[in-house]
Amino acid sequence: MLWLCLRLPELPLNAIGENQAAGPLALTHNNRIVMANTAARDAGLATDMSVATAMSLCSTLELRCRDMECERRQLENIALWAYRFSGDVCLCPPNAILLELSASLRLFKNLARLYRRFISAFRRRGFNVQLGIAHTPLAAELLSHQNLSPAKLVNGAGQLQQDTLQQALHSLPTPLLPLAAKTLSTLQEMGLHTLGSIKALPRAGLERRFGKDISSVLAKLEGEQTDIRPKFIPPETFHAQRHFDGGLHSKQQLRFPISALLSELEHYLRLRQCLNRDLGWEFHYLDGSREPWSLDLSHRHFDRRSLIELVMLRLERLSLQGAVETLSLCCEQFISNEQANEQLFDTASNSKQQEKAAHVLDKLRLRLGPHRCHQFSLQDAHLPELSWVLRDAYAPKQKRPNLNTAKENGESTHSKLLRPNWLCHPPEVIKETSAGLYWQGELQLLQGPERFDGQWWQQRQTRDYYIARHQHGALCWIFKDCLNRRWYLHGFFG
Amino acid sequence: MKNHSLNQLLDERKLWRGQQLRPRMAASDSCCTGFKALDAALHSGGWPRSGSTELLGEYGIGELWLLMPTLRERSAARPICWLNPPYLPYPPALAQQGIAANRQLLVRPKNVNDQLWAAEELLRSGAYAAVLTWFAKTNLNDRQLRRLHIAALEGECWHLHFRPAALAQQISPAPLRLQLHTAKQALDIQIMKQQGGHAGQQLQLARPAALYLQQSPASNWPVYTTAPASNLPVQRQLKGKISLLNASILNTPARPAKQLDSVSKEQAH
Repeated sequence: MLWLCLRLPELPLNAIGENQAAGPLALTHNNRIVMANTAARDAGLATDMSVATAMSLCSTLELRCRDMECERRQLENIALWAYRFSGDVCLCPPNAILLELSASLRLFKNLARLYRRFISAFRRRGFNVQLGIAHTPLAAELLSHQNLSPAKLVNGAGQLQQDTLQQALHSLPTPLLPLAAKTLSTLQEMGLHTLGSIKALPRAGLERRFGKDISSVLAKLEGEQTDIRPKFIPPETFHAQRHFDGGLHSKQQLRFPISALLSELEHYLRLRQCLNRDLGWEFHYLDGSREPWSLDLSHRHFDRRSLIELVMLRLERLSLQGAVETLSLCCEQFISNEQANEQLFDTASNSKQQEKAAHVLDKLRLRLGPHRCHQFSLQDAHLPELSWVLRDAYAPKQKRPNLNTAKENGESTHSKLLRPNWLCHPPEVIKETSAGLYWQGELQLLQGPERFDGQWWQQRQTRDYYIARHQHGALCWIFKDCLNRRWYLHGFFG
Repeated sequence: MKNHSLNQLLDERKLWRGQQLRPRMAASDSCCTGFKALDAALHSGGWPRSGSTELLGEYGIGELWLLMPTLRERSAARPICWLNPPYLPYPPALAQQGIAANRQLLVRPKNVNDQLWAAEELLRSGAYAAVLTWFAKTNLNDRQLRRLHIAALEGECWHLHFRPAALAQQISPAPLRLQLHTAKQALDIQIMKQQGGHAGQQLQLARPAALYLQQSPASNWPVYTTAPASNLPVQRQLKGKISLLNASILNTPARPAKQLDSVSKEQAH
C-alpha cells in the first residue's frame, strides 16, 4: 500500500476564488482571523487575531467570511479530479485528500512522474499544495504537513527510498499527532518532541500512562492496525460553476467559461462511464436574479467541440438581463454508455452516420423549436389519415429486434392498392358545379369507387374514393363523403 | 500555330472540352434512374450522387414517381429528408414502394431563413442520402442556390430542389435541371441543363397504366332487364341436360328435341 496525501493549506482562500496578486485579504470566523493571504501576512497579520487588531495593523485589509460550504465543495471537486489517478480516494476534511497509489503506479510509470503531474496540475490552478507519501494513510496525512520535496523521497528510478521515509517519520513533531491536547502537552513537557522519541518508548508503558488512544495511533502509523477510511464516491449529479467578479456582459465572453465547464463535465462523464441527456445552465446576475436555461441532447458520445457550438447556438436566442456574476452547469439525467457489439465490417460508417444524424437533429431542434422535426410511424387504421402518425424526431438508436420491423421496413399487407404519394391533410373541399367537380381546375373521374367504411366506434366515416384527372394533368385522389354528400381532395399521385 | 489561341484559352480554363468531362463523371458519381429512356438521355447515365438537381414543374404530376426507384435504393443506406413539402408525403404509399417510414425525416421550419439554414445543415451533415426541398420563397438568388449545391457536395448528399416551372429561364448553379410536364398518360421530361454535353433532350416516360385505367361511366354499364324465363341462358342449358339424360336412360339414339316433344305428346294421348 502506498498512500499519497494532498493537502491544500490555503483551501479557504482558494475556495473563494481570490488570486494571490490582490491586496491584503483575510478570512474571518467568529470575529477571529482564520487565514490571511500573503499581502496581509506581510502586513503582520497572523491567524487567531481578533478582527479589531487586524484592522489596526492594516487599514486596507479586506475582510471576508469563511465559507465552509464552498470549501467542502472545492475539496470534493479536487477529489473528483484525483479520482482519475486512483479508485481509492478519501476525503480528509478540512483540507486534504488521500489517494491509494500502489495500484496506479504501473499505469503512470513511476512515482516521480506522478509527483510532477500533481504539482504542475495544482500550480496551473493557482493552488498551493503539500504532498505527503507513506505506507499508511495516517502517516501520509502527517507527512503532508512537512511537505518534503519529492526529490528527497524518490530516487531517479522512481522508487521510494524507505530509509528517508522512516527518517522523515521519526522527525515528525509531536503536536501533529491526532491526540487530545492534554496528552500532547504532557508529551511535550516530557521532552518527547518528535515521533521518533515516542516510538522509542515501550508501547505498553505509553498505553498505561496515556490511555488506548496513543497506542492505536502508533499502530495505525505503523500499519499494524487497519485504518479504514470512507471512500469518496463521485456524486450522482454533476454540478459546477464559475464565478466572475464584476460580471460578464457579452455572450462571447461566456464562451470560455462554458468550454471550461464542459471539459469538467467531460471528465466527470468519463469517470462515471455515462452520458448526459441534458445540460442545465443557470445565470446568476449581479442583481441577484437567476435565469435558468437548458438544452436537451440526444448525442451518442460526448464531443466537447460540437457541444460548445450547440450551446452557443442556444445562447444566441437568449438575451442577457444584465451582467452575469455566476454561470452554473448542472446535469441530472444520465444514461449509461452504450457499448454495443457491432459487426466488423460496414458498421463503422453506419454508426458514424447515426452520430451525424443525431448531431444535425440536435441542431435543428435547437434552432427551429420543438415541433418542427417529425418522423413517421405506420399504424393500422381504416382511414388514410389515421394510418400513420407524426412523432417528434428522435436520434436513431441502435437497432433492436423489433416486432414491428417488418411493418416499419415497408412490408405492407395491401401492396396492390393504388395509393397517392402526396396527401392533403386536412382534405380540401371540392366544389360541385353543374359542369362537374372543380378544384383549381376541372376534375374528371377516371376510376372508382373504392369504399372506405370504418371508425364506427367513434364517428362513422363512409367514403368513396376515386382517382380523377385534373385539368392540368395531375392525378388526384378524391373522395365523396357518403354521409354529408360532399367531395374532398385527399391526395395526388405525385 | 493555328490552334495557339485555342490552346491558350484551354490553358486558362476559360474553355473546356465537354468530352473530357464525360468519362470522369460516368465512372464516379451516378447511378441508374430506373428508367432506361432517362438513363440514355443523361450523359452521366443516371442521377448524380451528390449536388443539387432541380426539378421544375407543377407539384403532384408524378415528380415523386420519377424519383422512387433511386430513393428506394439510396434510403437503404442513409435516410432521406423532406424539407417543407407542399403536401404531406403519404407514408403507407411510400412504404409500399419500398421507402420505410422510419427512414424519413420531415422538417417544416417556419420561415425562409430557417428553411435555408436547415437545408444547408441537413445537406452538409452527411447523414442523409437525399434531401428534398421546397422553399416558401421560390425565387432564391444565385448565392443561396450555390451555397446549397456546395453543401450537398460536401455532405455527399443528393439535393432535390423542387421549383415552379416559371423559374426555368432563371440561371441556376445546379448541374442538372429537368423540366417536368404532364402528357397523356405519361410524364414529359425536358432536360434543361446537364453536365458532360449538350442538353435539350426531351422524352416521355409512361406512367403506370393502372392509374389511368378508365372505367366507362356507370350509365354505360350493362343493365339487366326482366326477360322471358325460357330465354335465360341457365334454363336453356338445363333443358339440354335433361334431354341428354332422357336419351341415356331410354337407351335410344338421341333425337332432336322436337321429336322428343312429339313423342311425349303421343304418350299423353
